[in-house]
Amino acid sequence: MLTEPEIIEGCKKGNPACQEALYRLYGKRMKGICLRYAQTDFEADDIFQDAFVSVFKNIHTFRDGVFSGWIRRIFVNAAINNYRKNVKHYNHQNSHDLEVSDDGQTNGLDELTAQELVTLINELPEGYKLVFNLNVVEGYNHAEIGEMLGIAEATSRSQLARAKNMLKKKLEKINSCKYAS
Amino acid sequence: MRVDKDWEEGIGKKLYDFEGELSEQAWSNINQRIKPRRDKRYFWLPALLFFMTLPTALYFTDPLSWLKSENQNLSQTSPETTVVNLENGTSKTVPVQGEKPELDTYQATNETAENGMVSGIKTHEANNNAAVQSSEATAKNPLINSGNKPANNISGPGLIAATKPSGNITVMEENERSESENKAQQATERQNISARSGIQQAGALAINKPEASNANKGNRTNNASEIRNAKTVGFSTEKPGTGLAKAMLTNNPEVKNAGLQNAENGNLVQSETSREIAWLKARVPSLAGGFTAAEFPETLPDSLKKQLITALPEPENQIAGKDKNQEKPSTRKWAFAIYSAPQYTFQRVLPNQQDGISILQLENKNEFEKERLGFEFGFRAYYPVRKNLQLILGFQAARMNQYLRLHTVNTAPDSVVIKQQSNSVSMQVYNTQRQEEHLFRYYFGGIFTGMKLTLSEKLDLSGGLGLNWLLQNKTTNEKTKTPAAAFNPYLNLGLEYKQPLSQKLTLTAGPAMQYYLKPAQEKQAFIGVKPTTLGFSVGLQYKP
Repeated sequence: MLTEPEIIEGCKKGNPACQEALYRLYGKRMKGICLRYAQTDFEADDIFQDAFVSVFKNIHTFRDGVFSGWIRRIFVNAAINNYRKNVKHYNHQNSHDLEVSDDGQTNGLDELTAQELVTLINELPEGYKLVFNLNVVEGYNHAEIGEMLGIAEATSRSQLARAKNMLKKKLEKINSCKYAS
Repeated sequence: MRVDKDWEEGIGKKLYDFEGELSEQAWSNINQRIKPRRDKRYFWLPALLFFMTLPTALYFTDPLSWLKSENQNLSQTSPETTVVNLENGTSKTVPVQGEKPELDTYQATNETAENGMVSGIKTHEANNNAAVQSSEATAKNPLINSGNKPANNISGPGLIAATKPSGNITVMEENERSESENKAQQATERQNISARSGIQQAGALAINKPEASNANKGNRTNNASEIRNAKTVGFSTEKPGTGLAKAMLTNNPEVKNAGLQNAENGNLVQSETSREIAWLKARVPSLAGGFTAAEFPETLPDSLKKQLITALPEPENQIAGKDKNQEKPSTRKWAFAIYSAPQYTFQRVLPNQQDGISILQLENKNEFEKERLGFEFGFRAYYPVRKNLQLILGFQAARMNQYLRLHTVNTAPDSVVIKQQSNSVSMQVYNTQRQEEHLFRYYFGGIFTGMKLTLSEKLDLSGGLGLNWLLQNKTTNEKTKTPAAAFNPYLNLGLEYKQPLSQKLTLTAGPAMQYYLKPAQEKQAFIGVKPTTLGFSVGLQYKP
């Protein structure tokens, strides 16, 4: 059984076995990232494959640090690139349709699985979803998000707030359905 | 606020390590894209290098070897180069036809005579070290050598003084023709006497034998004064008994009989001038081009000029015409060439309009990529059909690469999501978008026919029609393999710079463009790519 550093070294040398090992080691987590950012499974597959190809082509540039962070960054960047390419094709909803009040409720989160949560997040408009993922899940601040997406920091903040409100609303709805049943 | 923070952290933790399901298909696709291209072979590279370096090597390693061999051939039929020197420094260098000399080594010298004449003399260095009877000395004072008259040589009051060695010809002015003729008569009288010692006739022809000269031996059969008075046209021969004397007397009947009609005083007296000119014409074909009066020194007597002009009347253009006619059969020969050319493929994308897939973006439309570099090598045969026009026939093998990176989308919706909320209904339509990468690699074998137009001595323009058969079709992703057209006709246009390496070999190089008349893919393929290639051809042409 190869260790992670050995796998990485093997990948740097272009060893096919190590490449497959790396795919098996990180594939599922990276696929999860792609699913969170993509609109559809097909799109997630495309991002996933492009990002992994990019990882193998650029792995020689990885020197020190945490490999999981490095590879995660590549996948997130691939997702952002995909968003940039397709942003004009996404159907945006009017923001006033999505206005909800921030009532601070947090109910129902523990009862949801990660898959269900991802499904809910995927129902958010693309811009909201992207900012939400980058801020809440990946931990980037608004300045970084603004730089990555080419938007103003304030825009990032407002989009995050709206994304959270929408998500809470959805959670509320789900919880009320659960309690009703 | 604290609650909000906890909520965010709760979601973050849940989603940070969220995992998706892996598919084998995904790994297969990734693996295809990252594996080294095993079909990326560079077997064509050595061939290209070979074709490029061979002519260069031939050209630079021993450039004189061709000349040497040509000289050897030449020496069999035309042993020496004769320099005809006219007084006042005018000179002509002409090849001499004649017997192959027995001696091997030649050295050419040009010496300036004291009397102002330039005597271009090729010294024939004897094997027996009876070396050089200095032609320089002869040039300085031909009379000195006349005393060293060789046994077999001829001298007399004519135009010709021959100096040993070599077959060089020194033409000198005749100042006192009448006196020479008198001397010639005297010499004629002596002819019988001196016949045994090699004098065949009177004339101002002296052929000096080096041995005799050096040893001051040999029968003096010539009167020094005869030579002195004979402002001569001089010849030198390679050895006694060969060369001029032999040519004049035995070898060539035309020479023998030349000038017989110029009988004076009723007798058939052969004019020395006529004989000498005939001899010159026989041995020096290039002299057949004749002289114009302007080419002679002013001091040359008009009578001699006239004789030379009338005896050598053909102007150069006529001779050139003759040569051309003579060479015509030889130019009507096939020439053959092998060539190799790297080719870059430009591509025009023609999407299939009926497959429900649209191209959103062609990402490498304006890029130069190494993936699109292919090659061609082949054989060509050329046959001249007109003066500057050659028919081309040939066959070739080629590899053409097409590389596409594009973003496609299904025109039909892939899925529709309808969201119903309390006061609004929204609908999201999803069309499947794909990022695609295709590297098509086609291996062709084909035939070609066309014409080549000679623009100048060094430049040819060629064009024609070719037809390539698809031998093999490879793509990076076999699953997305597109059906390829079996035949690909193309138009070719090229320029060729010619650099002769020898009489038979010519290095050719120049750009060539191939415009394919249809896409490399079949109609039902999702995409058609019509290629145009631009290459630089380097070849080696052989013309027997």
